[in-house]
Amino acid sequence: MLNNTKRVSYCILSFNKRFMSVKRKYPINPDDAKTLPVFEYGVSKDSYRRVFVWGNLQTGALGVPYLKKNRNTLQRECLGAPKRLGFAEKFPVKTAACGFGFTAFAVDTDSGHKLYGTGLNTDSQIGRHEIRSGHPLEIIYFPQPIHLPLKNPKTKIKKISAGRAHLAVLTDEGLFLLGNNSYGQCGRKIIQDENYFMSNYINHVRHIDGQTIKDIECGQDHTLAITENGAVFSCGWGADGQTGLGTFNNVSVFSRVKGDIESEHIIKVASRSDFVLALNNKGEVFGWGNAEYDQIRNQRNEQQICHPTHLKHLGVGKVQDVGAGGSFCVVVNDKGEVFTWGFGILGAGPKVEQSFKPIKLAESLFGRNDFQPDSRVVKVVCGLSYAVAVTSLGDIYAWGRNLRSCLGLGSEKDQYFPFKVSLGGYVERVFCGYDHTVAICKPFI
Amino acid sequence: MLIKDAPVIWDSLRSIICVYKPPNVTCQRVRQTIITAVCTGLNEMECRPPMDYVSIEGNPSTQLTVTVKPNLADHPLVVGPRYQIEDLKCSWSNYLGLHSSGVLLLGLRNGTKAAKLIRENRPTRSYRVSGRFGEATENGFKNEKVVERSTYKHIKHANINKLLAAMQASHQKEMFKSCGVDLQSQTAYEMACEGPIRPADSKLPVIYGIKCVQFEPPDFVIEIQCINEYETYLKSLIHEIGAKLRSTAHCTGIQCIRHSYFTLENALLRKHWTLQHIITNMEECIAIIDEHENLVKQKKAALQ
Repeated sequence: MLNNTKRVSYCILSFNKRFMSVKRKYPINPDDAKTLPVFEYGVSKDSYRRVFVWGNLQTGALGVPYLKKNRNTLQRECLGAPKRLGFAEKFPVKTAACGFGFTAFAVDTDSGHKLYGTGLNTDSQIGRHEIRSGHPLEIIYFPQPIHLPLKNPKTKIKKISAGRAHLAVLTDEGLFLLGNNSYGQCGRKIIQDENYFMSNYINHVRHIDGQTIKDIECGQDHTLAITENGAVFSCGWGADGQTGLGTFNNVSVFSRVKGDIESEHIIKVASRSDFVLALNNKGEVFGWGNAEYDQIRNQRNEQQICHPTHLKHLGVGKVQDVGAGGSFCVVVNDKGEVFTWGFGILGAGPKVEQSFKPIKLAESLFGRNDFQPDSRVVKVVCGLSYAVAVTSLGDIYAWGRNLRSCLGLGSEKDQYFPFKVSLGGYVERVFCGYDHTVAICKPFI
Repeated sequence: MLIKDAPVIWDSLRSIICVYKPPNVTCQRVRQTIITAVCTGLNEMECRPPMDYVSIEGNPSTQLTVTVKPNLADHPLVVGPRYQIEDLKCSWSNYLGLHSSGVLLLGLRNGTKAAKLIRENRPTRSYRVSGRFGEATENGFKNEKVVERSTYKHIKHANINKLLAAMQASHQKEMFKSCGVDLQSQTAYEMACEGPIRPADSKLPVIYGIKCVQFEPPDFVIEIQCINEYETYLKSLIHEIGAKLRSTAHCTGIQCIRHSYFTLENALLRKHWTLQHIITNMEECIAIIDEHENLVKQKKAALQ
């Protein structure tokens, strides 16, 4: 740390034993300091964001092609600790989305490409990329621009969401969907035996039911959209009831989700695989989809619920944020308390493997103690088998199954209770995929 | 002082005293000064009189007389003062560097054992460290030559607070890694639920709390609550804060304001380093130790 000491000398067996000081003949002249130049290091712009990535390196989803010069990417399996993304230094990344083995970044520019993608491209989920014409690439290791058929170059991308093999991009001009459509998740008619790798069809949905689309969310093979009046529309795979349309069929057109949420104003939906949680403006939680891990308990003991159900008896207070993983659910209420239920590593220690009743995770696990009495959890994001919570101080705590070090804790072991991930910045947003994670942070100053 | 007998006082000196170490003075010098003060104080009181010796004189064949004479070989003017500096054991419980000042716990005679137990118990200490933005010196302290200057006008109080909060959270996480328990066990979960814990390692400095209490650019003061720290570490911390805030900084003063349950209020000032005050201080310290048993006996890994 301090390697500026010159000519350090020790006097052993002497009364004047010096340590970390320099032998001087004359005392220091304070005026010498005034002759030194004054450096100005500068502060970051307000809009500057740092992007950190960690997790599985082999799918190319992290966008980090070379770790050491002249070394093959395939030699290293995963990034155990967060690494700063160089791509984000060149392009101002606004938002991102993590799918199953691929990532998409939305860049804030007025001209040029706004959407970049990296990772697996077996179903053209990140557009068409080819070096030799007629031979598209199946896997990309560095973010490449995805061509979106935008009319206005000043259109901004509001949100992106990625599922298993499809990508949904919400812009000012409407919703663009690309990738796999074998269940109708791209909102267009299912074509038998369509070759998604070669076809690269981008579906454009401008309005749904005459309303502009406010928010989108992709589950594993289905897509959900929230319009401006709080109505939820869905399409895609329905075999587990995740579309919430009352049937178990695949739906290829965005249809209104009714059930208990028909008259509610929904502000957020969360779904990572085939269970969906919806949050309305009053802080109530609704759920539907594959509930075989006791995410919804009902008398008929149904495991697939295709009608949205109001989860009345949770007992968690007014909910602020929801997250739904593959086999568990996490909610945060307005006091910053985190509740989790379902199956898997819930975050309450190695002994708790499942619970149908929401368990409260102690606040001291998220850094609330005598030294930080004001720290509270504000957001929670779920990957398939892990979860990440963001606190008001800009820290993130991760727990769950550590597949390819997707937790970013430096080890490959599963984490049974929330543990802080070390990052160089204050985290604003986190995006979780199947085995990799992306975080967008503000710099320190 | 009501008691005039020095031996009684000597016997009662068997615990810890809390002393305010002045800056730019080594701990060894403080220790020597305290020992000298105690010994001179004791020697001024009524010490043990010279032992008489029985003298049997005379001619064994005729009458022998038995007389009791004063023993000059035991007289203080011949042998030296009753209480010598080498006789008094004194050791410190926490080491403060040359430039640090503040609470220093010294154990006298039997109190050296208590001092050792307190040290090994690893309680937390609080420091007030003051720094100055704009200049970086050779050793991180104000007494050395300035090597780099930089601007600091862009630093606001909010920036410092946020940075220190991030540092605090990172350090608290590190304490888990060095707690000596497997992170995947139920014990680790229970310990995490309780809150901050003390690390198993005695070499790794861990910061539990750090916040900026005063900020008048370019000067600032931060209060740190930590374990296992040393003076150079605190100076390098100030340097790191300067670097993270895109400027430079050096340390201008370190003061230890609390050592577990002993605060500045219990610390004896330089002008009070006399025997009477030391005895009163010792009584206060004994009361504090009696009140908090976990100072000496370690029961759980939770923070005190």
